[in-house]
Parts: sequence; structure tokens; C-alpha cells
Amino acid sequence: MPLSSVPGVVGLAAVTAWLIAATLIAWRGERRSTATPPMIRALLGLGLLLAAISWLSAAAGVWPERAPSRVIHAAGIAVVALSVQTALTFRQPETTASLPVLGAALGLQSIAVGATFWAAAPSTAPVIYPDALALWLIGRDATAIAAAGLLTVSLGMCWALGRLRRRRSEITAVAFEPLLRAEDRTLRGALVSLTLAVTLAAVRSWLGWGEIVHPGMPGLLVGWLALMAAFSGWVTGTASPRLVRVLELLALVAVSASVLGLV
Amino acid sequence: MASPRLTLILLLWLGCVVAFSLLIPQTAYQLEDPLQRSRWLAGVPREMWPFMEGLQPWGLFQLLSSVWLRLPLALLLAHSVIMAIASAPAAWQRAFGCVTSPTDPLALSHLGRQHVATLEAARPDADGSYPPGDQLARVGYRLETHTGEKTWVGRRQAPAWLAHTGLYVGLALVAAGLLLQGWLGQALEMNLQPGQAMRLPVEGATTLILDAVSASPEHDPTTDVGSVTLRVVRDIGDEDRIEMPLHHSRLVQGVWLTVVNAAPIVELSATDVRTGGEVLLQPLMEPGPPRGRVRLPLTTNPEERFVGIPDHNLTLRVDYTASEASPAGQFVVSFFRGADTSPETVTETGAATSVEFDGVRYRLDFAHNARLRLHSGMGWISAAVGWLLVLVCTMVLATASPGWMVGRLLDSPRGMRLAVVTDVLAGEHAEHAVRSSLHVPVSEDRV
Repeated sequence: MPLSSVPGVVGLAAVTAWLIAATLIAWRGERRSTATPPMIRALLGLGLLLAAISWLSAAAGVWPERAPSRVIHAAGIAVVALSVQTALTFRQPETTASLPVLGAALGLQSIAVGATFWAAAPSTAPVIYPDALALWLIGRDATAIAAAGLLTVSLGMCWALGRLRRRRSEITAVAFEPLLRAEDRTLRGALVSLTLAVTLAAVRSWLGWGEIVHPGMPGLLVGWLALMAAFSGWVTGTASPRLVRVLELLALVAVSASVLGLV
Repeated sequence: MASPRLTLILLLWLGCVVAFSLLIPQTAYQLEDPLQRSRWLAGVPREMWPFMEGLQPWGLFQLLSSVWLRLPLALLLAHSVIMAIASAPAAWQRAFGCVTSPTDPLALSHLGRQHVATLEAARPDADGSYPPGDQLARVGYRLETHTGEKTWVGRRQAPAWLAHTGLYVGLALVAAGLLLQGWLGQALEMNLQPGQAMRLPVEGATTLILDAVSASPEHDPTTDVGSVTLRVVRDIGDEDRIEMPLHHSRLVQGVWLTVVNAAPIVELSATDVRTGGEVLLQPLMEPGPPRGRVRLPLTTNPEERFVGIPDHNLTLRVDYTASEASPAGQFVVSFFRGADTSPETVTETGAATSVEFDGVRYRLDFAHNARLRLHSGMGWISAAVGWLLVLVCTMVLATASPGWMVGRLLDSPRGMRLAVVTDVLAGEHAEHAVRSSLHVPVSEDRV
């Protein structure tokens, strides 16, 4: 899949749109401007549309697991994360909360576009197993990608909260409560998605290979255990907020590695 | 053992073991078997041998079947059972039960973020309702006032408390299932040739016979599409014939049977050109006497495809290549004389044909073995039921934030006081919201 393919060109255009949006957000924050940023919204939306086209057109060719590169799913994580972030902060765009998620999305999208450049092998996937197992795989990947995207947003919110806590101004205090709620909701959403992903992966491995430990599954399992520990500590108050965030980060790394076919 | 902190520690311990199994190369060989152990070592660079042999007794190369995993699983089982038993009465009370006082021991046994406080309070209204009722209703609480008893109970998403206990029951079942499967169950992986039989690891003499394997496309060694035909012969004499597609599972006589793969092989036989007699062949990686027909795997280590011909002081190796030019594929046969390491002759031939060399005709046929995986023991059923419970309870706890509180108005010389206990199974902000509704400063330390 060369860079000149549809996923490559469209993916690069998405990176460009997001880069301009990130620059505008940073510039706006620097100038402390309160003007509404319709251009930023438009660029974010355009980037999302292009990244989604790039990801879905490439993913259709690489979904079966033996295909050359699953790294294109990094674009999926970016699309989910930025979609959730945009939906949460659409009415009151909060630069402090948007920037980390936008930065993460930019990084992930660049990795995906890079993969389209470096993956020289043809993207046509061989027929490898019955359709039913392929459907379990698509379900597993879709839920795991959603979990990774939600975790990215949760961590982005947490970073933004840390910054707001340090500033402690009257304007930022208004944004404090919605961010706290958003962080909580995205953590819960990630746990639901990841539990579903582990279930789908386990059922697929057991029915198709007669074992649970199959490629992709250990990464999801490590992610689920870390996230469950984080959630347990979060709702019972037995873990410090810092430990919860470290566990969330561990879960994000493990789930992303599994989704991208690295473990 | 009844501390929620231990749940966190055990989950992390299990996560670390699984993570290390990704970092340290794991092996499917049975390392207790000297032959399998030497095969495992043969795949490792020679300079690493002392290091690997030193680490092997620690079970680091089979982490997922070692004590490193079983110990935290056993602890998780014990901890989950204790937590489920300890939390069940409190969870039931928070969901449906009534409370008479904030000093009730059950009220004080916290499941989530608990807060105990005594505050200044206004007198209750004439109808007995407590003034912060409106504020608490705004954060989702339904208050039940016990008129005359000056005690009230507030509940939010009450049934979700039961998911807390359910989660521990689910974790206990998963841990028990995995331990039982590893301890009492047996996991076997078998490569069966068509016509070959194997005894199932169950009580009674039940035999599984592989009748046929078909793969599609027939000569594509990478294909994962096809089916196997099996016969199950029971000790009472009756038999069943079953056909299973690749990557399908079913329960056969209490054994979970999965068709994992149709492994491509080459069937090799040899005859003397002059006499027409059978020439004996000896696969180099297989023990046993020489025989007239051998089957060599095509997708594994090339070293397993060397065959000795003792009567002719020859060794041959068979390789198989498929390309766009010859989609049916072709065999490449290399002949080595004596102890030579470079082949004397290399011959290419079709997928079902014969090759002649040094007065011997070799016949090569492309075929498939079936790789089956069998699990005896029913521990996996416990694990599956447990995981289902974990899934449901996680969904409930992730979508609901159950909260509970009990308060009692006390007459004291300094005026009305309110003793209140809150228990919230949610994040920091939910706890803050409840405390703000009760007019407890968020920064106040626990009493």
C-alpha cells in the first residue's frame, strides 16, 4: 500500500488539517482570545472525516489478522479519540482539554500514514478462516479500538485537569466539573468496551483454536487487568488518583499494542 | 484477605505475569521430556544454552502454566470468596434492606468511598422529611424517612450494589475454573494422519479415528479452509461419524475438541527400480525403525524433512514451493551422499509424481494431517460462567454509580446534630456532589 494510495493521500490530508487546527488552538491560547473558533471546528471536522475515510478504506483490506500491517488501526484510535473529544467539548471548545487529545490523534494518525508508506507488501488478504471467525475479529478490534480511543480521551482530560488545578483561576474553575465528569465517563466507557473486546477475543480463540491465549489476546488481557484495577481503585478510593492514571496509561499501551498487532 | 486493596494488587500481579509471558519467549514443548527439551534447545543459539538452562527450572518459559500464574489465581480465588461473603450482607442492605442507625455495624462496613460525619442540622419539617432532600434528589438520591425514628436512608441506583458482590463471585468462578482446568483437566494437541486412531482422555474406551482431511485450495500450504471427517468409536461398539470444518469446536464424549489446522505434509515412499521391492526410509527427526512410507511436515522446521535411506547411504530433503507460475506447487528434492553437506542432485517435480535417483524411484504425494486440540475436564465451564458474570457486573458498575447513605438526627445540648454515613461506589466527583448536598465541605477530612 504505497503512500500515493487513497488511504495514504487522504490520511496525510487529515494530518495537515489537524496540524493547522492544533497551531490555531495553541495560538488562540497564547493570545488568550475569546473569539469563537469556527475555523478550528471546521478543520477538526474535516480532519476527522478524512482520517475516517483513510482508516476504513485501508482497514477493509487489512482486517484479517495475517495481512501485512495492522498499524493502520492507529488511525482508528485517533478517529475515535478525537470524535469523542469533539463531541464532549463541541459547545464550549476548551483548548486545554482539546490539545492533548489532538496531539495524541496527530501522533497516531502519523504512525498510521507512516505504516502505509513503509508497508510495501500488497494489502490483499488471503482467505484464512471461516467468515464467522472474521466477524468475531472485527467485533474484537472495533471494541478494542473504541476502548483505546476512550482511554486516550480520559488521559487527555486528566492532563487538562492537572493544568486547570495548577492555574486555579475563576474562569478555569467553571470548566473543572464537566472535565471531571468527562474523565469519569470515558474511563467507564473504556472499561465496558475493553470487557466486550476481551470477551469477543476469548470466545473467538476458544471456538476457533481451542485455547484462550491466541495472538492479540494477551495484550487485551493485560489492558483489561490494568484497567479493572484502575476502575476498582477509582470507585472504592483504594488507589490514589496518580496510580489510577498510571494504570490507565498501562492499559492504553497494552490495548494499543494488541490492536496494532505488536503483541 | 478482605481488603479491596488486595483486589487491585492481585489483578496487577496477574497482569504482570501475562505481560512477562509476552516479553519472555514461551514454548509449547514439554520441557520435562528430554527429547522435547533438546528440540527446544536446538532452536536457541548455542551461546544462550547455559542461560536458558539456568532459567528453565524457574518456569519462566512456560509462565502461563507455572506457579507464577497459579499462585495469584489461588489467592484471587480465596480473596474473591471472602470478599463475596463479606460484602453480600452490606450490598443487600444498601440495595433493599432497612437500617435503624448509622452506628449499625453493617452501615459502617464500607464497600466504596465511605464518609462518616456529624454535622450541625436544622430541625426536620413537620412531615418528617429532611431538609437536604431536594439537593440529594438532584444528585439522584431517593430518601426514605422513618417517621418518629429520626432516621432516614438515601439510595441511588440501589440494585447496582449487588453487582459489587456479583463481580467477586464471577472472579472466584473464573479463578476456580482456570485452576481446575490446569490441575485436573488435560490439554492435548495431536497431529493425526488419515486412518490414525487415538484414545480420548475420558473414562471408558472411546477412540477417535481420523477418516479424511480436505483442504481448499488443495495444494495451498497456507490455506485455513477445509474440513475433517472423524469417527468416534465407543467401547460398547457403536460409532458416530462427524464432519468438522477447520477452526470449529464441539463437545465429544465430554472432551472439547477443536480442529486447529490441516497441516500440509508430503507422503514419501520408495521402490527399487530393478527388483520392484520396497526401500526402507528413516526420517532423521523421528525415532523408530525404518519403514516403507513416511509423512513429512511441510510447514515446520526444514530439519524435520530430512530422510535417510540406510541401504543406499543416502539422505534426501523435501521442500515444497508454490508460486504464481505453478499454483499447484512443486516439490524440490535434494539428495545428499554419505556425510556430504551439499546436495549431489536437486530435482524439481510436480505435486503427485515420482523421482528417480541412484536406482530408486521415490513417489511424492501432497496430503494433509489434521491438528486437533482436546481439553478434558470441565473447569472451562466454570471459567466461562464466571466471565459472563464478570461481564454483566462490570457493565452494571460501569454504567451506574450506586450510592447509599443513612442519617440520624440527634438532640444535643448544642442543638440538632446529624450523624451521617455515606457510601458511594463511584469516582471522586460523585462523592463530592453528595457531600456538597449535605453541606459537608469537600476539603473536610474524614471523621
